[in-house]
Parts: sequence; C-alpha cells; structure tokens
Amino acid sequence: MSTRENQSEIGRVRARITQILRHIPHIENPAVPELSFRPDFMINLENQLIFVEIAAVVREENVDWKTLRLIEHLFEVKLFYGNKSNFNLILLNKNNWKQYCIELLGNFYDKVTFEPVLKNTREIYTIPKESNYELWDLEREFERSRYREFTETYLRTFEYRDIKENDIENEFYSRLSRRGFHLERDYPVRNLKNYYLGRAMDLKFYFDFFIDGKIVEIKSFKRINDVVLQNLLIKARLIRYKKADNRIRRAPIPLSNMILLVNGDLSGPQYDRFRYLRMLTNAGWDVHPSSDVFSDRIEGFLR
Amino acid sequence: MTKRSFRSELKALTFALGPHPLVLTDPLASNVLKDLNQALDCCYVRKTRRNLIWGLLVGRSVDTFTVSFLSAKHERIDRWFNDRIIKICRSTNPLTTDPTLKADLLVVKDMRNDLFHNAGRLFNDSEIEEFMFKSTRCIQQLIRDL
Repeated sequence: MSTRENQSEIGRVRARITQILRHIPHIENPAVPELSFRPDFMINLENQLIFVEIAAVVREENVDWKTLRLIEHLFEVKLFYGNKSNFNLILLNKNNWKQYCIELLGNFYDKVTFEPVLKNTREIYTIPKESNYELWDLEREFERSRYREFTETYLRTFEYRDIKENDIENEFYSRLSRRGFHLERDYPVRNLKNYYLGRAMDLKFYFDFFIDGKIVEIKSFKRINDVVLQNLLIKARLIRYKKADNRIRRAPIPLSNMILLVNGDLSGPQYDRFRYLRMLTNAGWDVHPSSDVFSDRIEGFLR
Repeated sequence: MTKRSFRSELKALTFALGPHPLVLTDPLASNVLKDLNQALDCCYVRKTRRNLIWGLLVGRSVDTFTVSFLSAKHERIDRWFNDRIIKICRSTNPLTTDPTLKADLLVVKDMRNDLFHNAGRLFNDSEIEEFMFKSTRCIQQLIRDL
C-alpha cells in the first residue's frame, strides 16, 4: 500500500471514529506537551482519559521500528496520564504487519482493533490492561531518579556540524582505541520485547559501542525529529526490564551508563527549550554534544 | 517534530482536565493569558468560563520567560509536579486563609534559573508541600476578591 493510499484509508477510519464519538467529548490530534507524538483522538469520558491512535505501514517502512515507536507512544501516555489512562490502537492493512509485531502490540496496548472490525462495532476502547501497571510504575520511578537541571549554555553546545555519523563513530573508535580502551561495535542487548511474546525469540537492540560497561550511541541530525527521538526513547526503556516469575524486573545492565553523543540541534520550542533534552535524559540517556569526541572531553564522562 | 504550538498544547491540557478546571496563571504574563484565552475559546470548556479563575501565583516577573504547566489532579500530578516544581519561584506571598482549593492547571513562568540561584538544589517533599500550601492560600484569597 502506498503512502497516498494509506492516507486516504486513515482518513476513512478517522471519519468513522468521529462518527462513533459524535456525542462524546473529544479532540482530534491533541498536542500534549510531554508526548512526542500527536494521538489521533483524546476522549474525556467522566474523567477517564482515552486515547485512540490509527496506525498503518507502507511497504517500504520498517515494521519493527514502527511497532517500537507505537510502544513508545504507549509508554508516554501511561507515564504522563497514569496507569488508568486508556490507550487503544487501530491497525490498518493487517497483512503488512509482521505477526510478532501484532502480538507485541496486543500485549502492550489496552486494546488493538483491526480496521475491518471497525465497520461492525462501536467499541473502540476497553478497560486499561492491569498486567502492565507494574511496568509503568517502574518506569515512572526510574524517570523520577533522572530529573536534572539544564542550562541554555549547555543546550547551545548541541549544534549541527557537517560531519557524517559514520565519521564521528570512526573518530570515537580510533581516539579511544589509541588510549587503550577496549571497544565493542554494534553491541547487542536483549530487551523486554522478548518477554512480551508468547514464544521464544531472541530480539536484540544494537548500540554503536560498548565500552567499559557503558553503552554509547551516536546520532547526527540537523534538528531532532519524531522518529529519531522515539527510537532513542524506546531503545533506552526496553533494555531496562525483563520478566521473571511472571513479574517485571529491572534487567542487570548498567542503567546510569547510557551515553548519547549528538551532532545536531536539540532545542525544543521557545516556551519549553529543554523539552527534548529532558525527554532523553528522563528515559535514561546521558546526552553530550558529539563535539566532545573531538575535543578529548569524552574520556571525562566515560569514567 | 510534529507541528504544535503553545496554544494547541494548552488546549490539550485543559481538555484533559474535564469540564470544570480551575486554571491559574501569573497575570503579569499577558501572553500566557492571551494564549490561554484562545485555547479555551476553541475547546469545550468555554461554556464553563465562570469556573475558570486566573490568579496571581508568582509574586514577581522575570524579563524573559518560557511557559510550563503544572497539573495538580489525579495520578498525573506526580510526574508533572515533580518534573516542574523546580521551575516555580518560592517567593509566593502567603495569605492567611485556609486552603480548600486545588488547582487543576497552573500555568507558570519558567523561573528555573532564578530558583536555582536562590536555592541551588531541588526541593524535597515537605518543601513542595509547603509551596503548594502557600500557593493555595494565595489563590483562595484571589477567589474571594473576585
């Protein structure tokens, strides 16, 4: 399905949902400050907040990452609006989704509906999934431990320079190797996805470097965008947890040691300049400008 | 990033609070009031405008400001509150009435730097509680004066 076909299909589903909600207080595409995306619908039903998002994949799109970003959306809503907020997903073109992605979304989201079903039902939401409360609570607790103070001076150090991501990685590798550090490239880390499936799958995230017990990721962009931001956020969140004895536990990885080196502008809107820096930091990243690699400051925060 | 504005964010926040939100902001921040007004005009809480009260929250202004929000209701208070409290100036003028009202949405200036120059650290729970207590008393006096 092409992007254009997708858009018209999404438009049709939106119209159907608008019709279902015509007597219920709701707004479309709310811009909630702490969410890195705009859900399709926010419904306020006697003080219960319900969100609905419509998702489709086009052929050339990476379904795995699309799925992960949808899980990030869910994290953000649950963290900001509480466990009892309700987040529901409507999936279009089922055949374009991998089976395990559908299964993952079904296990994370409060309700997943497929578009054809929508023709015969008005039930687009259900009660929140209590089995995930523990996960949201743990993540909320983790975020609180991450509150930091930022300054404009620090924010201004994040500026885009015309250097390729690969070149920064190579520079990072060669400088630290020369100083005797042992670096592993494309370091794999198991993540919570494995525990949210009904069968064994060895799903891993790959990070640019592993050095002295620390994960290092390098990113280059002119201005941060939704996709890059959400990918980084979910990558940080999902490696923190595992399931044991049917309960969510913290995974034994060096949590305080996730370093993100950024070549690009990280500033938020004028009325909330530190927004993206705050989001990344709260999710577990220690964010530094990639210029530190070239100015030899890198060793300082690797220790 | 997905297109958004301060006004559209205010609209989303006030909508989530339900039909009778108590909204407080610093009246010195005229741009905030304008945006709040616009945001509320285009969402359904417009009909209950009489229940919206804009009050004096912070006792002084700063030259440059960015605006942040603070919700103080239900579960979402915790994260929001903890995240933003560092942005609120402590120099609230406490009044003598008893607190009975809680604000649903506080629209405040970003006084983070100002605060950190004064305090140099994050607040602990009891200080936050004290701050809210004083703010609420201040707010109640404003309501009486209306």
